[in-house]
Amino acid sequence: MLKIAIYGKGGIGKSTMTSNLSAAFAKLGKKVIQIGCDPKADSTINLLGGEPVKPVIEILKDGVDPTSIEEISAKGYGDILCIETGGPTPGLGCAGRGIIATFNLLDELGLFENYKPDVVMYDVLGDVVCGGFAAPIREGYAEKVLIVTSGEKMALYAAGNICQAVRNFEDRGYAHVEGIILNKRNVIGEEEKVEAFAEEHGVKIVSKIPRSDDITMCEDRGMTVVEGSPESEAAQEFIKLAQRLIDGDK
Amino acid sequence: MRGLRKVLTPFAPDQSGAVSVLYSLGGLIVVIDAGGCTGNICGFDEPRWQGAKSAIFSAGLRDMDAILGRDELLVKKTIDAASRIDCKFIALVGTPVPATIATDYKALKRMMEKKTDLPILTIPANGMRLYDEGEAMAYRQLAEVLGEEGNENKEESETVIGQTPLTYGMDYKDVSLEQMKLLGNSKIIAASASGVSFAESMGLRYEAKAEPAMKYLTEDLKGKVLVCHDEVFGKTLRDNGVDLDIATFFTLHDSIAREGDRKISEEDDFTKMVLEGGYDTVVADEILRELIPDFKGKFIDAPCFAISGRH
Repeated sequence: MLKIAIYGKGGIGKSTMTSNLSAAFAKLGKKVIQIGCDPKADSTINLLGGEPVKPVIEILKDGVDPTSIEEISAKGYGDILCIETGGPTPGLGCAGRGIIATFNLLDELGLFENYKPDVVMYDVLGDVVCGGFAAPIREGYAEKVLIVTSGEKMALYAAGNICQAVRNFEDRGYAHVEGIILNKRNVIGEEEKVEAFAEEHGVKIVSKIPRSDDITMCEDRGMTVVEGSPESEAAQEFIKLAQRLIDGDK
Repeated sequence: MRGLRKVLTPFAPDQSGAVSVLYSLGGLIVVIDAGGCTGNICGFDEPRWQGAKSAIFSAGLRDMDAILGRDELLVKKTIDAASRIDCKFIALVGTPVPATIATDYKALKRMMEKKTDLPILTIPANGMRLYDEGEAMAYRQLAEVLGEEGNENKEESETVIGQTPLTYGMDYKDVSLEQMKLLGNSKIIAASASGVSFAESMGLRYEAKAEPAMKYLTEDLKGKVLVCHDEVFGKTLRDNGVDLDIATFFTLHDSIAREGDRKISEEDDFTKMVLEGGYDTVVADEILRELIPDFKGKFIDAPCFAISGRH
């Protein structure tokens, strides 16, 4: 089973990358689960035709004690099982604890044992701000971390922090950084900057996703570019990356 | 090893101190916890629990309350409870859970004030401080929320602050709501560290004196004496002619401390102080005797409920 967590600066395109990669895995015939771990609960919306799944915390809040995976998930493009942790109203409560509560529930429901996915994708909030947001890379969850960045200074700064945070967890048996996805913003000298960053941090660039109007247009229609424009350059990049990750997992 | 205790159990924390002050004042006390802190407060840190009623409730927080920070639900439950019992105020007492999720006590107070005319006291205890600090916070809230400016007690009167069961067991002396309302012209008798903290933080004149300490003023107090109890307990004996040093696990104010006095935090601190200090007599809770098996002088048992749960 391939289990990947996607991290990166807020607004850098993590959900876009995650959903497209999930769609690419599905297109290659894999059974995929995508778990959105952001309180905004918008990770999987483009796999679901723009119709969001009810977040787990919203279900638990109503006093419901789910007894099946179906109650907390929705099936999207390519039969991808979509789950969103959700979280509190911004500024209240504890979002990290919300992720832990959701993961505990997924364990109780035997998600991996019963559903038997080939690939599990975790789309995580912008930074590892507390223990809850590190939960997706704990033992038993994601084994590989992909960091999304552009060539912009603050995106690279956040990527550096994430690299360091993951390294700090090495002796705990947590996930390792598999590589960087360069989500191009077409800033000056972008590729050189990201390549220099990758070398400095000892990580590889696993994919360079071109800035593409196809992605934007597909998202306006509530879908990924892999679904909506599969022949586009961007979609082909996602499919190539998915294939490389599958090959690397063998 | 620092922080490792082999003999002593954890001392009463700040939330227990806060509830101890409020216990008999007729308020609705809501401990914002899952239930365990309230259990400890009532079951271990409150000797009056078996004999005197008090309206102490646990907020009964569950995972979803902590995750979602459901302030509205807490406000609703509290106001509902307050409408069912005859209470003079509502006190919200914190614990580690609200400290961790950054519960906004001022916001809770404002939300509750829109639904009730009862005074709302907020004591942001966090379970990581000791009981005397929680007591001081509770006294301060009583004075600040209930205090009536310009309506001071015209008669010279005395108000004893800090003589709670956690320090003095059943030799406690409660304040009344009336006393806390009319503190302006009162002379404060600070009977323990919490009383000193309160008076000093409010800028009130006070005398540090603990009446319950006086019964230890006997001819057994011979030679060089070490008192390990509350600072005011020690000061009271010193002021009555006993040559002593104070060791305390709780707050030691600059205004009380003299040369040779020490704030201690480890078991070893106490052992070392006794063995190196050349003391003839040690006055402390009996439970501390186990820490000084080589001490050959006289040991006088002075129970401190916050340390041992004995009185």
